[in-house]
Amino acid sequence: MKLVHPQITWEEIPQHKEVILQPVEKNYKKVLLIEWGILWLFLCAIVTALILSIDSLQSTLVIGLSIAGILLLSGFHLFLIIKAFPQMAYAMREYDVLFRKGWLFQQLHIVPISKIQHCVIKKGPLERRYQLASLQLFTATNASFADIKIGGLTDVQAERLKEWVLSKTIEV
Amino acid sequence: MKTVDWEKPQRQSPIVLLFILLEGAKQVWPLILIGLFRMISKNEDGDKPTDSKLMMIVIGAFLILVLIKTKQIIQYFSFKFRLQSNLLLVEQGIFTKEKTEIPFSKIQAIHQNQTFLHRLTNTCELVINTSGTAKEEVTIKSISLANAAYLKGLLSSEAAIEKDAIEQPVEVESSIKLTGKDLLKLCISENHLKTLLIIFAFILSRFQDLKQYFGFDSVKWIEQQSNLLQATSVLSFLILAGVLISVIVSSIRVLIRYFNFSISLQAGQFFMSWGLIETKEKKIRFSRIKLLSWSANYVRRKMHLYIMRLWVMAEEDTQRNSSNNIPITQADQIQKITSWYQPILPSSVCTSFEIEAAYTRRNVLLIAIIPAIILCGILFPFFEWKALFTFMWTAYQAIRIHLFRKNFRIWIHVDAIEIEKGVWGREHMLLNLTDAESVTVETSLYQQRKGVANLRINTSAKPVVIPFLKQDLAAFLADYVLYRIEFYKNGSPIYEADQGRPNV
Repeated sequence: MKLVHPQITWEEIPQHKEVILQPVEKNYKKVLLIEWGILWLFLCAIVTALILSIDSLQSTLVIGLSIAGILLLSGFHLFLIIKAFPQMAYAMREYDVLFRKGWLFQQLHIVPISKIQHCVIKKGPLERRYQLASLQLFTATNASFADIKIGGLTDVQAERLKEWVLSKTIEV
Repeated sequence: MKTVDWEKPQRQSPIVLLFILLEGAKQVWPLILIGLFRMISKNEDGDKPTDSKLMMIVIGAFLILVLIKTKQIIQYFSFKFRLQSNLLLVEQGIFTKEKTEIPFSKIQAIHQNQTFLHRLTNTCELVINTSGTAKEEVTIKSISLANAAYLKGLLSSEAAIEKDAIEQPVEVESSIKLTGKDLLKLCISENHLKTLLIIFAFILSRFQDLKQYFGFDSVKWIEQQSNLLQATSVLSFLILAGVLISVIVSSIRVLIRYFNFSISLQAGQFFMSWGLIETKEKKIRFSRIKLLSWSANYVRRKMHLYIMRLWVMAEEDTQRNSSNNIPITQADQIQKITSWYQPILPSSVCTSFEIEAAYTRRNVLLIAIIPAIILCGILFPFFEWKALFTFMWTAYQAIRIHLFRKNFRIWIHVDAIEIEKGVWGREHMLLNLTDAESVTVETSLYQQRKGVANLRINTSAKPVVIPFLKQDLAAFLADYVLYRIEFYKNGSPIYEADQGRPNV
């Protein structure tokens, strides 16, 4: 077996740091905030129902701790959403798709187009209200967190991005 | 046969509704039986059941059935699939709309399943996999056999399905066999403590079953027996017996798994055979292996014994699937087996990288110090100064974390990456960069301040995670992996050979 071992220079390797990421739609923040509201309303309802139905929980201490706990956790959750939103951004390069998310724990995920197996466009009721959509790009990885889900795209952007990815995938 | 216009949205066969209702009936029949039984019991007291009551039960059961199956019924009506040029399109969902598009060329496997009900209704289930992982992307729960055959033929014609190799005599390239001495070494070095704990957990769970079924308080009984035993030498005898039993059990496990074990490399695939009572055989195609790892506990490392694991795509829980394990009893066998995957082991030619010292500081604080302080604070009112023993945890974890960082090594070769990690034992992972599916650079706020990042290289088998690398190095490695994937896309330009690694 003959081994060919060509030298590679740093300049030859495209650097993802140079890519300018495009932020997601501003309306998506509204969707995230409404989802936050629904989630915490639901949790408040469960806590209230528990307190009302179990006599031993009907003490000032338990009620006070519950309110404080809910305010603290929901506040922290809201803080995370507000801080993380500006970090959500994506970019396409000739051979891959990049997506960045998270503030406390930031993730930059890069998926080579040649490795994309299929795409899914998702539109929840809230996203539909704001003409938004999410595009999920699936690879052959076993872990679901390893696939990209780009939220906060407009309907048109999601469709165009999907078409572009698919056309590239088929080319490959 | 009725011609189907595949470009128009197609529904699954209505037989699916029957399946859903039958499946639901299977779930609610105990409820119906209990209802009927209670009615009959009342009847004995002179309260006669009326037809209307019986009718109520039937209607009630049907309503419960429909309610619990609403989601699946809605899914049936919203699920549509069609073909468009070289794409399979699937739309589903009422509130959250989901549109899946699968290029024919990305389809890896099409499975046709037929249950008894399918056979009765002349239909079948069609499962279409694209990724090669265990999760299937599209399942058409019921489709007529004729349509299934047509669809399967059409999709298969352009899919990336690997056709089964035609059975033909193949030349054995290399083979490894376990000797009796190797088996003995494997038996001795097995993790007997783990076996002892498994046996103990098993016995305890059986005792708890006794309590559940017969009201026998096993925990109290064990406590009473231990109090009795403390005063006698039976305790030491029991400990010895426990150790002996665990050695015997783990040796039997090793014998069952590795007796008469042999592995050979034959025309692009591994052929393994083993078995004590019955001989088992397994073939694994090279192209399905996406990662190699070999590990050893402390004792095995000292004896130069390793267990190599072949991480195969589309096999869920490969971690627990011991049928992909190969015992390594001689140092040169590692190179022998890995050479088809990666001709040059990066650790044999490259200098290694280490992870940053910030890893130790951060993890000692989060894992060793903070939990010990909290636990000590909780225990102090009850145990006073004895609560300070919780800081033994801090000492142990600090040593463990320090050793883990010290032992973590990364070697990067032109087309592969190898890592070595472990505290007392060692694990090596070897990844050919073309088998990476995607990369993720992760940074917490602390890591951003310290200029470090975690690099996760996702594969179709298991991710390779390198923590606390310098940010620049992590970024460079991510870029390099992507570069390599593109470089290899249309085959391997690195090895000009007739026996090189098969193109994936």
